[in-house]
Parts: sequence; structure tokens; C-alpha cells
Amino acid sequence: MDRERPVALAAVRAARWAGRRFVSPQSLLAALLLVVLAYLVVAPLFAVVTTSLTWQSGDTRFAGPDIEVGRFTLFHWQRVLNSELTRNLIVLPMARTLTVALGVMVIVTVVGGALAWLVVRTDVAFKGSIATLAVLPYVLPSWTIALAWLTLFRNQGVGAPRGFLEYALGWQAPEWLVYGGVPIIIALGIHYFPFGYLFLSGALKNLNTELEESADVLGLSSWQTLTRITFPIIMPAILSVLLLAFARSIGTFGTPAILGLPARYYVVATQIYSLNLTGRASQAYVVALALMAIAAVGLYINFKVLGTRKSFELVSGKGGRSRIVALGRWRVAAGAAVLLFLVAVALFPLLLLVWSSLMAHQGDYSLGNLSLRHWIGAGTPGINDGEPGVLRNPLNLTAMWNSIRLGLLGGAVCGILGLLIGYLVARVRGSLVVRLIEQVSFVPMLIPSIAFGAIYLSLFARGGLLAPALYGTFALLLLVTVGKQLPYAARAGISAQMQVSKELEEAASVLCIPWHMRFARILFPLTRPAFLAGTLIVFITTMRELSLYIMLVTPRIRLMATQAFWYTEVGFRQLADAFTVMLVVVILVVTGLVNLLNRLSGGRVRSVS
Amino acid sequence: MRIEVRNLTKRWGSVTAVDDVTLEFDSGGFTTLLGPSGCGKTTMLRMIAGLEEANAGEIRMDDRPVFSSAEMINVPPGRRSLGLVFQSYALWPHMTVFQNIALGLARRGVRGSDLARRVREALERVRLHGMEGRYPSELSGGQQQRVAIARMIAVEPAVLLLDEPLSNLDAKLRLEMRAELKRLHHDLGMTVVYVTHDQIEALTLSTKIAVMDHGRVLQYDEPDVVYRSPATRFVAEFTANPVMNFLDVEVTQQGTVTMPGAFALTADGPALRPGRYLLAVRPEDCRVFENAMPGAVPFRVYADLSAGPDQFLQVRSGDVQLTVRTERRVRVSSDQEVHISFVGEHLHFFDAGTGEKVTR
Repeated sequence: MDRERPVALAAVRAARWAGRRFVSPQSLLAALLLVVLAYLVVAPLFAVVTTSLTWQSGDTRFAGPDIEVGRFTLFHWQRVLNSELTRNLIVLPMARTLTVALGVMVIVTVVGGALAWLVVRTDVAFKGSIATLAVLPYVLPSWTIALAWLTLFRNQGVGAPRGFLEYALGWQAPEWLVYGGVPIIIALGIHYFPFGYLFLSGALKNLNTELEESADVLGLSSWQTLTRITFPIIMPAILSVLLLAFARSIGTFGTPAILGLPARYYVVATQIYSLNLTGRASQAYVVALALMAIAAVGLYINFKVLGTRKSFELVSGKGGRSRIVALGRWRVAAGAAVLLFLVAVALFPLLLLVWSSLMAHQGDYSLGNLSLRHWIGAGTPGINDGEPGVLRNPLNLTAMWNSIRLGLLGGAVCGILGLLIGYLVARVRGSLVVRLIEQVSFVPMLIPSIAFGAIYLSLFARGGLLAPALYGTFALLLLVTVGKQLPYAARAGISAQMQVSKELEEAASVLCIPWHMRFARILFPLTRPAFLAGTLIVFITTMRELSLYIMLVTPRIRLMATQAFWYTEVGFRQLADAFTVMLVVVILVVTGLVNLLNRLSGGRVRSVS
Repeated sequence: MRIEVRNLTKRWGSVTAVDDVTLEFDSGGFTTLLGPSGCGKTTMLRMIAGLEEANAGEIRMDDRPVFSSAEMINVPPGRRSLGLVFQSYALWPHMTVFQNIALGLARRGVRGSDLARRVREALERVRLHGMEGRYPSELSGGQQQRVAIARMIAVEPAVLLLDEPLSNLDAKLRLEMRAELKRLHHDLGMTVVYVTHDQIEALTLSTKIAVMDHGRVLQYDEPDVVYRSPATRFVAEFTANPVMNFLDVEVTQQGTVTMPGAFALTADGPALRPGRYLLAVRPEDCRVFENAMPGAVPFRVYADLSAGPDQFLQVRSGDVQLTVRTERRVRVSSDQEVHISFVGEHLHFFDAGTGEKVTR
């Protein structure tokens, strides 16, 4: 007995040592986050690849009855990439997607850049209104502009009810202006240019104008200063804008569906959707993987270019005085022109939707046709198949409730995960596991929304040991929301935690305050503003997100966005418009409420050193 | 509480921050870890606190091991009965002064009127009564400093660790806080471990100083001993106030100290083996004479740097430059000839190669 004791003691000590070392709160947290990320990101990616490489039960239609479901096959890849269908399945949609993306990138950079320059670097009139209106198109759901576009341009010449222009002027717009690439580029360009404005005005504000003034003093012309000094310095911001516009527009579904599908103009996003709808999910996954590959290439190029240019970011920082260009007698004229443009692209579409939602019959813009029946009517036989108004349909109220709780819950979960990831990254630097967590949490960023939805569909449709058949449940919508928004939440969380000095936590641990209390009493209160801001952004994004959910909703579980799209799809145009307007109202009201609550409960958050 | 550190080693990758250090901190003492930035002093402190884990070695507090790599013991910071005041103060900015101090007490089960009383007492200790409701951002740097100290002494730790607590204060406030710290140590009788790069702070406050460089302790003695008898060239240089004169000298067979081309003196210093040495003389250990004296070496005044009661002269002879300090004022002008002699018992000879002190 006695001889064994030292051994036993050593074993106890070793266990205690190991326990202390490896079951520290940080290690536990890292393990937990690793599992969460594996579940949200890695497993779905794995599932989409394996599904695309195996026979599925529905494949007997294409390959005869003697296939063995679950066996390995290259059939789906071959069919998409190397068959007589390749051109229509992927080549054409991919070419259109890239064309659209290119057009959107140009619009976003040029319009956003011009606005940013006017607001930041000139004395243009109506600056305040311009700055506010310039952000509005992004707050609206992306398909709002598309719906408004149709309301404006559609006509009987293309087989649609009369649009406003045909009604007012008798002019029938040609089909290429109503459906297809051109309107898609314009509508997406309008939706995304606020990105360009926000990023570039930020860069211009931070730009130290002394750098430009040095060039002036040395006798460079204004043009030379712009091209040799200003552009190179704000290049990282421009590249970020280009990448964002690219990544968002290749994965977006609503606008190309509304403006492309009636003319059978398929982009990759709508192609994935329709392949899935027609029982060819495996082929949809192949197309989705191709889209991800394209996105990854875009991201890689951006990293490459940014990597070598990174030093420029250091140049910004504290900008000196701003160098304001006096526009002279053009001051008011330029301001008025810009304001007019912004009203036309941001406010006018919304008003058009409101008006359209109040028309009893489509295409009749007379005052006598105005009616509230599509809002509160019980349904009129002969109009939209007797569908009741949006406020009379209990399904819509469920959809609204689903959207709101999805946005708030998803935002809160994302916010917490982001803070935890940020905590690990900021505190436990250099650990391999932590770096892995950081990297994996950014992966969803390079997966376009529509593809991300497809991936989750492939994992959760069948059901398995670790992935129950969640298709058609709220839980799946929550999972996909958290997975997709995680990169943004993680970024916000990391930057928030980086600003909290680690000594603030160490002081507490010296005082024997346990980890959960340190987080609750010190770290969380200090990072709360970042948490709330992150939650709100996820909420807004979720409320108007269509691409991510379009393949995951079922009649059992609907969202506001998908419901609005369903109205469009079945042709109940006024109801679609009404419901879109309602969605905008809900976003604004909830955002206002959250802000108000924050201000009322607002603890005094002071400078964090 | 007595703290023993044995063979403590800490590596960051390939860099050794603390290199096999063995030290004993006296119970109730005020021990200072003194050294330049990057010498490992803060790492030492953080290992004692338990915020950093050593690669090897042992730390005992009153014979209880709180860290031991061999026995696989590592007591977490909160269970070591110590307080730590950070260089940045690390006050929680979203809490009032009261809340900052109360959190640690509440954790120890102090509640209600007891809690209020203990917070008030801690604040009185640092002479900040009545500031309970303020937020850290509403306090000056010196006040924040006191709150940081009050927060730690409120829980009555056996050991108080201070990491460069005065480095963010201005010169006047620093002097004042030195007095406060000394008083606090006297009143509370705690064991204090203090980290600083400021030799005056170390000399003023400490009962013992450990001079560190490159992760090693070069000398561990009472302040007076460190100052009067530095163990190495580095210690001599680092504890200089404001500078130390270094001369490359040669000791001849006869015991005469010569500096080739400059001077020869028959110092009554230690009997050294003939050879080359590095001689260090503090400015106050030089005597200045206007006229030639036996044993004094002629120099020329380069600049008179007197300020107030202190007279500092920079003098030169050939390539040799000395800074000397005189207690009584001597009227000199630039380029005037003066005669300098050294006080024999305060000459420090170091091995020209290793920089170690050479004894007779």
C-alpha cells in the first residue's frame, strides 16, 4: 500500500496539473467554438461535396433504375461541366453572372466614389441630406428596386400589365430595358452603391491631405495629384469596394429572379434555385461549388493585391485638415442634381411601391383605382385570384413574427459568438487552435448566399446522426443565419475585444474573480456597444435577406422576404409591393426600438483603455 | 509573507526572458526588481502573480509551493493571496471607484455596511476619501493610481506586487507617490515586490534591490550596498546618478594605477594583480582642486553644468572625459585647469573582459 502511495499521489497531481492546464476556461471555450464552427461551416461544406459525388434517390430519371443510391459517381459533375447541357447549365449563367458583377462593380465604384468625393472633399450644398439619402438604398430589401423598376417600365409589349411609363406617356420600353442583364445591373448597382459611398468616404476622410498638399507645393497638377497620390493611397478601400460588390452580386437571388426569370435570363443564383426546384439538387450543388470557386478566386486576387499594398493603410490614421474644393457657382446646382438623383433612386422606388400597392387593378394609375383592398381587404374575386390583403392573411403575420425573431435571435447568437471568438483571438494570441478558429469563422464570407443556402439544404434535408432533418424548421433558418453572418460578427467581436486591455481581466483574476464573472462584469459591459451594433446589423441583414433562405423555406415556415417573393412569383404584384413596404416599415420600427432600448438602459460606457 | 523563487526560467520561443533565477524576498520587505526594459523583471513579477507560467523552476510562498514544474503545481493568481498594481492601472472604466474596489471584496463574501466600510478604509489609506462615486475617466492619473492600489489593498493581500506604478506620472507627482508608497509599506507591513527601471525610485523605496539584465539577477543587496559596491560594470552603470565615469586603466607592478597618456596615481585602493582594468568612479567620489595637489591629476574644464546647490563639472584631459561633482562651489570658467583626485575607497575596478567586480 505504502509503496503505491507516491505513485497515486503523483497521478493525482498530474491530473490536477493537466486539468488546470487544459481545462482552463480559455481551452474549454476554444474547444466549444471549434465544435460550433465544425458544425456550422465544415460539416455543411463536406456534405455538399459528398452529395454532388453520390447518386441520389431522384436520379433514376436521368440514369435509369439500376443506380445504387449513395454510391460514388461523377455523373453530376460530368453533366454540369462536360455534356451537351453544359452551355445552358453553367457556361451561359456564369458568363451572365460575371457580366452583371462587372457592371455592378463599375456602378458601385463610380457612383459611390463620386458621392463620397462630393460630400467629403467639396463644399457642395445639401450635404446632410445627401449623406442620409445615399445610405437608404442599402436599407431597402435588394429586390425593392427591381419591383419598382418593373412597375415603371413593364408594358403590354412584353406581355405584362401596363407600367407607369406606358400609362403616363404611352411609351413601350423595349424588352432589354424591362428584363435581363441591363435592368439587373442597374437595380443591383443602385442597391449596392451605398457600400462604395461608405467605404470611400471613410477612406477620403482619413486621408491626410498634407500628402496631397505636398504634391501641390511641388508643382503637380490637380490631375497628377489625383492619379499619382490620391488614388494609390485609397486603393485598398477601392479594392474592398470592388470585392464586396463582386461577392454580393454573384450570390444575390431576388433581383435576377424578378428581372431575369420572366425572360428566361438565368444567372448562376437563379440557375441553382431552378435546378433544385426541378429535382436536380446534386447538379445545383455542382453549380454552387463552381460559384464558390469563383468567389474564392476574387477574394484571393483581392488579398494578393491588398497584401502588397497594406503599408498604405498606415498612411491614413489621423487625417489633417480636409482640403475642401470650392465648387463656386456650381455649388447649389451640383447639390440639387445629386439630391434629385438620390431621390430618384432611393425615395421614388419606395413611393412607387406604396402607390402600386394601393391600386385595385394593375396598370391603372388613375385616382379612382386607389384602394386599400390589397392591404386590408378580405379578397376580391377576379383580382389576384381573390387573395386577401397582406394584413388579413394570418400566414403573413406568422412570417413577420418568424422574420423578427430570426433576426433578433440570430443577431444575438452571432453577437455572442463574435465576442467569444474575439476574446480568444485577442487574449490567446499565437495558439494554433485559436488561429484555426479565426480562419474558419471567416470561411462563410467567400460562400455566396445562394450557395450557402444550398449547402445547408444538402446537409439537413436528409437527416442523419449529427444533422437531424431540420428542413422546414425554424432551427435550420437560425443555423444558416448564424453560419452566414458569423464572419461579420467575428470581425466586430475581434476588434471590440482588441480594444479592451488584457490587464483589465488580469486585475480581476488577481482578485480571484472567476472567469464567468470576469466576462459578465467586465468584458461584456465593455464590449456591449459592439455587441448591440453587431446584433442590429445582423437583424437588418436577416430581415431583407432572400438569397440565403429561398431554398430553405417551406409552406410550414415562411419569412417576410420569401413571402414577398412568393407574391411576385405567382403574379400578385400589388400584394408583393404592399408586403415589401411592410417589411421596410418593420425594419425601421424594430431598429428604432432597439436603439431606444439601448439608450434607456444605457449604462455609462466610457473610454476603454 | 516570504517568497522564494528557485531556478525559475521562462522562454518565449527562442528568447529566454528569465534565465534560471533564484531569489528570496524577505517577509515584510520592499524588494525592487531593477533593470532596463526587456530585462525580464516584469515577466518575473507576472510569474510570481501567476499570470504567466514558467517553463521550469519553483515559487514558494511561506514554504507553500504556488508553482513547481517538477511537482506540477500552479496555483491560480486569485489563490496566491497577493495584489497586483498594473503599469496601466487597469481600472475597470465602466465601474465607479466604489464598484472597482468592491468587486474583489464582494467576491470574498463581504457585504452591506461591512463592504462600504472596507471600501472607505481602503480609500482613506490612499487619501482619496469621498471619491467613491467617480468614474476612472473623471480622475487624474495620480488618483487613478491610488484607486488601483486601494483596489488591491482592500482585500488585504499578504503580498503587493507593483509593476512600474509611477512611470505614467509626471516628475512632481512621482516624488509625492514615492512618499505615499513608503508610508503604505510602513503602515501595512506587507511584503512588497516592486518593478522599475528608475534607479532613484529603487534606491529610495527598497529594502533590497535585485538588479536584472538579460533575464539574470546581477546583484541582490541592500540599496546602499548596490550603490556603494556594484557587483558588475552593468550594475555600476545602471545605478549611476546621473552618470558613472568609466576609465580604461592599467595597474602596474608597483600597484600604481595608470591611464596611458593621461595620468598615474598611487591609489590606496585594493591591491590588484597587474593588468588592464575598467575603473569606475562616481562623480561625487572625485575631489576638485583649483591648485595642484599631490595625487591630483590636471584636467581642463570643458563645461560647468551646475544647477542649484549641485555643481557638476565636465572635465577633459586628452581623450579622457570625467563628470565630477563638488559639494562646495568652485569658481571655474571653461578651459581653466583644475586638479582632480579620486577618493580611494570608492574606486570600483572591473575585469576589462567580463565586467565582473575585481576584489583584492
